[in-house]
Amino acid sequence: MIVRAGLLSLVLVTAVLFETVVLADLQVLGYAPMVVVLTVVGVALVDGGESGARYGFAAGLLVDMLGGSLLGMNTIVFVLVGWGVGAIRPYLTGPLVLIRLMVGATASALAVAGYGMLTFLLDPGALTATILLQAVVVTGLYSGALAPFVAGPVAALVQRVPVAGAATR
Amino acid sequence: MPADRRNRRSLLALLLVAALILLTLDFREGGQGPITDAQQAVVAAFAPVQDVVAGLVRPVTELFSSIGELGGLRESNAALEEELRALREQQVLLAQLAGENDRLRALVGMQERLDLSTTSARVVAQPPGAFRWSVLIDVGADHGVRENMAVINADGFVGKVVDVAPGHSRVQLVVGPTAGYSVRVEGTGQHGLLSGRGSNPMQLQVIDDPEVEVPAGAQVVTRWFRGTAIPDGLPVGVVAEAAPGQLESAQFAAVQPYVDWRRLDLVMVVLDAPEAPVELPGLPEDEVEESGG
Repeated sequence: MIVRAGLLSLVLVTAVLFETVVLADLQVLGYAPMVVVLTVVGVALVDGGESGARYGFAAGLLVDMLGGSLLGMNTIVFVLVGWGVGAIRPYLTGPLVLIRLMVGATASALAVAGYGMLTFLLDPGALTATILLQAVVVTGLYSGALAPFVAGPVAALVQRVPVAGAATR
Repeated sequence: MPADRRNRRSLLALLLVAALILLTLDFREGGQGPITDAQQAVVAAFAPVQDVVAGLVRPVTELFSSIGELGGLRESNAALEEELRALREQQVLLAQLAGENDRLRALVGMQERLDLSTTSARVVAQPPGAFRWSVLIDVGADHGVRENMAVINADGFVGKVVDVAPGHSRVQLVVGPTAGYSVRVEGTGQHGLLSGRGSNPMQLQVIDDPEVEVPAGAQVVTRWFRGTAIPDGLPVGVVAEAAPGQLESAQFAAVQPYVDWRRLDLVMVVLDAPEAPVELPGLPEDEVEESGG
């Protein structure tokens, strides 16, 4: 349990550093991939919705803390992403690489869309529909391209320290 | 199985309720309170790590970002040759401008031209998430930085400081959709409100003299007003599309920023700036001086 928590913490911190520092200079049209969301996808694809939601909660909380956004916004989105990916996990068939790519792209796009919707509710002037649409499309595609390289290793790591009693993929 | 499913749904509900509670508390805090303090503490704890990682990976990321620009080199080469031909005809002025274009010298030149007291800083990281409209810099309260101070680089106005920790600060970029700044169009003197549009050109809403045409190519600079810490006259961008004058309706224009957001590295925080003279239209010069500017 402690080993698993420590490993997931390390994964999360590494993902945040990668997203905020390494990819800061490698943006496409001003947008960067959602590496942290891809780690949530990796955990949920292996361990299911419950683990995905718990990890998503921690990941979202850290992203909110570092990003200066309202605490809870990314938290809500990442919990739902983790839960949703876990929920569709039994229905996913096909090559793992393709699954991670499609799920990663979709999850990232939905995460951006979800964050955008919350922003529209809480601060209507902060975003326009055009900017949100751009962000959803570009981030989804960029994240999808990176998904096999992020979600894959995360899934492999998580499989080494499974949750007791959980059915893993 | 049903009990198992109930437990899982309970967990989901619990996590979502916890997140909603945090969101509500932070929203009601309004930027000041224990949650904000906790956020600043986390940023302060993380920033040194981001600093170290940035220093390690910078050569690699610069290599990759250069590779990404190869496709446009031929076009830029042709454009640069045309520009060089035109610039040769103004050789004397070019000799002065070429010196200023050196990266660090241009920062000092900007500072000297506008008589600014500044501290230099390096961009350490950008926030996680899809919307990258702020950056983290490696100076903070310990270096004299305070909230709402202006941040500039060699190209022009970058944004303003919104969060300050002892050793780091977060800067809201001028292109962010939540950003709005009072500006002036050089040449016509029109005042307006400039709003960011992310990676799209910024939007200028002209407030006074809407019937006067805003010409394409006009420079847009910051406009000081009492209560702001942003100095007057900082170059922000250039009008990309002319907006014909319109009577009795809002006039908008698209403004392309001078700053290249993909290459933010060295910046300066304006610690103190001279107050702009009070504008008293219609008065002779000596009466303006007597009013104390």
